[in-house]
Amino acid sequence: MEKEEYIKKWIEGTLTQEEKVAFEKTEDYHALEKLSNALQAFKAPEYNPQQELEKLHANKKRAQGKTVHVNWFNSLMKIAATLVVMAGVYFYFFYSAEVTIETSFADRKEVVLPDSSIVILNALSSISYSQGNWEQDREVELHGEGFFKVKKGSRFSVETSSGTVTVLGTQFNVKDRENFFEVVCFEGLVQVSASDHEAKLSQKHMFRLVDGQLFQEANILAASPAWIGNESAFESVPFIQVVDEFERQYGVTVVTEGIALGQTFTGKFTHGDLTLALKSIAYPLNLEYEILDNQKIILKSNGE
Amino acid sequence: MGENVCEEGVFNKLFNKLSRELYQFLYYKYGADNNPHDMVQDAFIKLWNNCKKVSPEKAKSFLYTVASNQVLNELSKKKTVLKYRQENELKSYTPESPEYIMEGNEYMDKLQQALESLTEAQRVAFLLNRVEGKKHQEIADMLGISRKAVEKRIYTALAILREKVEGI
Repeated sequence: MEKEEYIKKWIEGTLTQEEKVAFEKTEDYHALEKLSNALQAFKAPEYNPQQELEKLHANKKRAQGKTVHVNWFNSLMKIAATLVVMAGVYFYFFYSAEVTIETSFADRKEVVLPDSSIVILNALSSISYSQGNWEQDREVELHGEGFFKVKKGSRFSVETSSGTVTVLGTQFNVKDRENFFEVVCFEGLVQVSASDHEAKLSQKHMFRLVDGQLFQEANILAASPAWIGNESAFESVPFIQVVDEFERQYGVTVVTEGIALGQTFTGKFTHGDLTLALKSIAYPLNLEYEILDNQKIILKSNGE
Repeated sequence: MGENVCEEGVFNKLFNKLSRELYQFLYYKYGADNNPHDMVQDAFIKLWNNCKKVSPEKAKSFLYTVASNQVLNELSKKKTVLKYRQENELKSYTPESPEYIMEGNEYMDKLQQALESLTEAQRVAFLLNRVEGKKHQEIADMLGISRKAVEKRIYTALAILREKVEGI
């Protein structure tokens, strides 16, 4: 019998007793046995269908909860559904050892997630995740703004009040403030779904919803968000967002007088010097400022 | 007919019957870094969402198609990485001297690279057979191809591996 024939029969397991004896004397046999033994080390990790099925049902329930919320438009029902979902989410997290990290005014925190991905939280923001279930439930809930550096290979999602960002191994910034939702991808790829919009963002792409209106940009030059470098930068953003961010960064109250808060602003302000920062946002729009005490600032149109 | 995938009992039965093999298929096809656990979850969620359209008999091929498409869709698909476990590695060879261990490691590294260099189709058929002990006919049923095709894949894979590992 040909050598090839033996190997074929060996694979099929159809060698007769005599053929086996003959084959075992050959070098081929030893090489194949060695290979066969070594291959066992490549066996796939154990899979537990029971455990996976439970996980699946948990995922299914959450997916259904969302559909209900989207489909009903009667406003009373909407509120009721929201409450149910919120209660569900609350209890879900409550019973699975939820971790929450918050920042206050003029604050910044770096959070290391269980898979050693990193989140840097901007001022007045919070992030929650369930520590115990991390392997099964790689999901973080974000309020405010955070810069994510996700470790390669771990896929998880960021839930915000305005939308969901699904991560495929990457660096990105999520900003979810009142009437404002923005995702900028700095590296890799993220999937965003918010109200009726779905988008895949690759490197340097931005997705922004302002009062429900969509803006997208494809050429972000920075390598990380400006606030990581202690500045807040804005490009064609309603002025109200700039004022809100200013309040968050300095822990002050800004009172505006006779200013169109919807007009767009492009520019930035530093986090380290209140007066300088005020000038940077006031001068471009020809505004005047007054610092009443350390907690209150008045912004108004310059001369009439 | 009569049975409906939308019934939780039927769905659970399908999951218990099919999920492990689907997991193994995905693991050997795409490696550990493409989250085979998550891919199985996603495929079954899709099955659930389409439970009215998919009969229990068609569920299997639906799952394999959906799972394979998922990866095709993800631009960020990672290189297939197959990890081997150290403790198993030298069991069958005497781990006496450092030379043996070094030689063993070298052998395993070569084997890993060789496995990763196979086509997805070859690797799946080969490892399901040699590691999971699945019969040729079982693999043919899983992949929806003929038994002959499975045998050819296994045989070709073996030849490639030996060439790369032993330098034949």
